[in-house]
Amino acid sequence: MLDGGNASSSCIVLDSVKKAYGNTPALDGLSIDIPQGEKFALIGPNGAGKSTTLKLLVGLLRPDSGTVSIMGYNPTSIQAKKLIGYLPEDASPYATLSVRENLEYIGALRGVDDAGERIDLLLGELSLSEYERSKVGKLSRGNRQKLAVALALIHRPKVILLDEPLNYLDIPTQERVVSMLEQLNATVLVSTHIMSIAERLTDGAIVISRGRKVWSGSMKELQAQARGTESIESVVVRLMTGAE
Amino acid sequence: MLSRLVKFLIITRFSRGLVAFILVFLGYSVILGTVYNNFETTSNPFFNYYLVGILVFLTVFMVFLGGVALMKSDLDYLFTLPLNRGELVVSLYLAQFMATGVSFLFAVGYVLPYVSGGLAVKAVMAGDIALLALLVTSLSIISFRLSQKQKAFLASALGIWALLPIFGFNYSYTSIFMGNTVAGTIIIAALDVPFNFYAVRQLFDIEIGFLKTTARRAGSEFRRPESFSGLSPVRAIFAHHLSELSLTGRFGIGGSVSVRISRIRLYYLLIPALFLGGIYLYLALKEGNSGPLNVAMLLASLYIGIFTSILFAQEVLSHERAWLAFVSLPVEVYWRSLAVSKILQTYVMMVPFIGADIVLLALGFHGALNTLLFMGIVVPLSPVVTIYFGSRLSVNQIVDTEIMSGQQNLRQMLSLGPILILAIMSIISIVSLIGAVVVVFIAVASDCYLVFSSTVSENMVFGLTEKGFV
Repeated sequence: MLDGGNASSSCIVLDSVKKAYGNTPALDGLSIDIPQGEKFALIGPNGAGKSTTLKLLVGLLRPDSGTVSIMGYNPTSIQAKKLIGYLPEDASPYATLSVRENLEYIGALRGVDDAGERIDLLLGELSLSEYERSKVGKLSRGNRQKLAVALALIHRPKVILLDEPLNYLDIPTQERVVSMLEQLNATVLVSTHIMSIAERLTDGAIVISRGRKVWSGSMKELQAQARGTESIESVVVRLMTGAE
Repeated sequence: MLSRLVKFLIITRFSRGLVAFILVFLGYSVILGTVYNNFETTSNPFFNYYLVGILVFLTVFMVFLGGVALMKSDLDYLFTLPLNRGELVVSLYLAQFMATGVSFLFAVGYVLPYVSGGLAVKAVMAGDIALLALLVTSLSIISFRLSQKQKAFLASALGIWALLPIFGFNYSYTSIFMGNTVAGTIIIAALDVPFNFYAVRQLFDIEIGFLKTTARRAGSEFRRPESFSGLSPVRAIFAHHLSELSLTGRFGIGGSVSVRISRIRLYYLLIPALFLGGIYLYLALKEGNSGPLNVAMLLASLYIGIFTSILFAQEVLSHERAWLAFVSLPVEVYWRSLAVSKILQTYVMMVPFIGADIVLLALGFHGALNTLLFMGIVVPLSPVVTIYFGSRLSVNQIVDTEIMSGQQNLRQMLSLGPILILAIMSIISIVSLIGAVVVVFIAVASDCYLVFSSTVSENMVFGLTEKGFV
């Protein structure tokens, strides 16, 4: 892995990364290079290695071989951690803290200077103000997901890594989250297996299957792969399975 | 059908390894209790205190942390089947007994050899132990529906009543261990009838109880909000862990899967700690400066060590959120701050015992130096080792709130190893001062390595993530 900043425009980089859980391979030589400011979707079937890719990028896993970097930094470094905002699938915030306490705690850990204002803004935008004193365990799944989104974005990250971010959210909240992500002007990688979400949140797609990249390009290029009235989902399935 | 239902409930709630362990240990205990006879107890009065202590520990533990061995899948599937309600209740009770009361049956092997008298007296004592096991089982079921305040009241009342025979009052359910078998037996039987009747009634409409309990627990805010505004990262971690102790109910030994979240102000916990510290001081002063004092110190050290390890350490990681904590700060910084805050949290709880040891030392009780070293240094350092063992061996117990305590396999049970190590360390500490110093050295060295090594913290987090912690 790289140890220092990189002046090139590459932001999210995985180079020939292999990762296995015991004898079960998760990633098999995966290479990804997302330039700064771009928004990409990581698309693949269940078990393709999407979540593993994100966990490697946030430094919660170590690759067996290959290199991983965020703007040239090792993902386990403090520099990379300051840049990254991460939302895992089915994220669960601290159940022993209230909504506001969660935001204040993570705001403090991340050294957010204007934490109070930022928290008020996020609570308002995500319609969580009325729940700010509530125990997280009491929240509905949708409100818990809103809080998880707020926790991932509290420090205005430059690199945002999201795993199925719109799960459980109602349609108005989905729109607000999309708008918030656009305003942050960050490099975004969204892991999803739902094409409509990929199209709404990103401009490009990386399709992976069995731990390997099988296709990458812009959304327009992906749509252009369609034959006749073929849906984009069918195109992705064809790419994943290698069917002609 | 009943036997099949019982078998189903047992194998879905307990790992085969745990069932085998219980059966082997129970068999060993029964053989021990029947083969050996008439050991002398007069030379060591602390043996009786020890039995009273176990019973106090179990009753208070069951009331506070008990729960019905019930899974959500029981509500979704099992209870929708056309089963005989009576058979279902009997099966649930037996599963509950396996999860709770059976632990007290182990006492057979350690009590009967010391009972002087004929077969009839031994039979009465064996019967009393069986009745106490049923009492413990019923308490764990009843506590399921109680509010925190009701639990605190019941646990305090039973705990204090159980301790009274030590101070000369013989009408308690622990009196059988203090030489008053008749009164003790009558009281145990008198308690068993209403408690078990009420427990069985609760099992008959357990679904309603489960839903009511879940609804009640789901509808509140924290009474006293914490604030982390303007704090540095490390100060925020310390503020969080040194103001309140977070508890979840999943570590209820009955294995109730409804996760209960509660926060207790740390200084509130000083009240029971002061109470126990006072009893420790009283017993030590009462029994003098010789062997019995050492035994008292040993027992106190063991109990406190085990209790603090379970209470303060094993649930620590299950409260953590790796995707927030270990992503916001470098892993080693967060782990170091968390570990040190847990050491300080435990140290606060040990203050009354440390104070008692200092008083004993000032009064010329030389053995108190050994326990001071153990309780003042080794016990507060113990959570770090326990957290580490848990993170390496028992991840699915940390991650999956739908899993029961009894479903641990033998490898996961190894995560409880530090408790055994702590018990051995306490014995070594009491036996010799040099031993106590060596134990302190080992504890300090282990903690320094676990807390300050970046490799340890990184491997811990990578291992946790690989096993599904994030």
